[in-house]
Amino acid sequence: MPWGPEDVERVARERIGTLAGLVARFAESARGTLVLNTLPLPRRFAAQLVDHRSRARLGAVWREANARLLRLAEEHERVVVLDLDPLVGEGVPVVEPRLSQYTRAHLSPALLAAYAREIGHLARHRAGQVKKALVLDLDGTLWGGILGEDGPDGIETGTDGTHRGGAHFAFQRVVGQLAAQGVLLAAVSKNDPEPVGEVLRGHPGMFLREGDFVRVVANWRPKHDNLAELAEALNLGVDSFVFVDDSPYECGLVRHELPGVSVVPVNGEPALHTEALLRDGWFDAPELTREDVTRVAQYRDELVRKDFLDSFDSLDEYLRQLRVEVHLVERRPDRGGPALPTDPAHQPVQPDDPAAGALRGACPPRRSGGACPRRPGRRPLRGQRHRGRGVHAPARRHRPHRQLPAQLPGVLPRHRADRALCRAATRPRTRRPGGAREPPGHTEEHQGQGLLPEERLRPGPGRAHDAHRHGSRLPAQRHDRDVRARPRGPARAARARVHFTEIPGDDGS
Amino acid sequence: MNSIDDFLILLQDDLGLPVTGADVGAGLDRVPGWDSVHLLSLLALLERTTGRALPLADALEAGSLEEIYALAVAS
Repeated sequence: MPWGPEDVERVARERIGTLAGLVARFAESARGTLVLNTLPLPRRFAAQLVDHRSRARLGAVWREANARLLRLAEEHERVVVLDLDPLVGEGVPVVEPRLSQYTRAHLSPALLAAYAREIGHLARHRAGQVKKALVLDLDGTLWGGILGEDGPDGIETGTDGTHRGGAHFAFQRVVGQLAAQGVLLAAVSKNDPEPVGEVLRGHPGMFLREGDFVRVVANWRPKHDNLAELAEALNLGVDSFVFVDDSPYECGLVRHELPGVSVVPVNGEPALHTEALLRDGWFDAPELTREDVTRVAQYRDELVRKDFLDSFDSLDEYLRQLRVEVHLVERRPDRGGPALPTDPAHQPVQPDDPAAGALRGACPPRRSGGACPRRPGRRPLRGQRHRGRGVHAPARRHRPHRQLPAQLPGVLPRHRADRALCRAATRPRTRRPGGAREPPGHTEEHQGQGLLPEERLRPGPGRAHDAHRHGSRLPAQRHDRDVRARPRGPARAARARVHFTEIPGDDGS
Repeated sequence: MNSIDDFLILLQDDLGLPVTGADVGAGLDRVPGWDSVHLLSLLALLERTTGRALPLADALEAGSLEEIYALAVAS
């Protein structure tokens, strides 16, 4: 029976409608993942229409049907539609005529194999075996040549140099594209670290820069050892790594020592690097989340934090490395001047505030300002404390009144500074006549000496437990007994604390 | 494909058949895992490898893998 594009359009509409109904039924009643595929248009159908106008119409109708199929994945969360057109575009034959005719297998074995590969990666992802990090060799992989022998000026990369340099640059662009979607990048290379850093920071032909990597490991140790350490530092399993290297020796060694690592061998032809990397959908995911996009920054921050925590053996060393300095300045009420800090978010306790009034005592209110100007990678901290009637509680932006978390290493510097300022402002009468007494619960010097910082930060008896027992919803803090001794009600809201508000500026005096 | 060994590798790697040199001369009904679909796939592979057309009717006359190989390399 002769047929035309309009017949194909009608049949396609009916079949896709039926399929959409089945998919909707699946989404309502079934669990698991439903995988569909688009239908490539074999030439043997299009060529049966002798006029180009009809062929074009057939192509449009066919692709509209495929587009409807693809949109089913947008409408239903657990439906995945694999597009076979990119596979066919790589030269995989759609049909093997003999198999199609004699065995009614209408898709060629090659296309089915490529299709199965895609489904395999989908199933791997569904099973939780997710690849998160792409670990790259440098010499011969990210750039051409050997950095140690050729020097930074002799390596091949960039768009205005050699053809091979352009191919390496193109490969870097593809890697950067993956990284922009949440794939963690790391480099593991047998090189000296200094020239590698020099190239990643300043080589004009590099697309990827040092900041694109969560970690660059350049040393002469076995790569499988470096990969294992990198996995530990990132708190990932090595089976979440994809490793790319141009050395068959290194690839074989990593395969042997770390079977969970997916190894992508590349060869001396950089134009094929991209094909090798993308041949398998190592980083395929059903959907990209916001967390995926920000994952790189999160892991990089975590690495920085871990590196810092690993860089000292004792609490004293840790505090020394923080390079925290606390400067106390006396603020006399008769001199006036703006209260510290000058942050617009600062909300001092007003004189007519009932909380302030309840705390107003015999001791004239005096303020001590504090500045903690030097913190690694952070802006200076400032705060102020009122002796005798509590503390100004500057509002933190996006973070309401928060006390000392006991087990968050990332916020430890601020709290140590808090404590230091509190101690300095309240302790020695010899240095500060008329100063407030040391809070009864102030036992900094006796707590956990000799313990590692993590151990020091764990809530322990007499800290978090006491605070919670007495109705506090706050994490562990040091002034538990002090809290118990304070009046309840409005006065409690203004109990003595030292808080800091981050503001840019000078010493705040 | 220059030798019967290359043909054997083709059978092993591309078709996934666990054949050895001893199976090449045996009847097709004694080749482990062999079925008629393999014949069609083998013809497609041989055509792609040699660049020559292999009629199905001629292949159906072959009684062993060795005879199919001879058909493929015949000038």
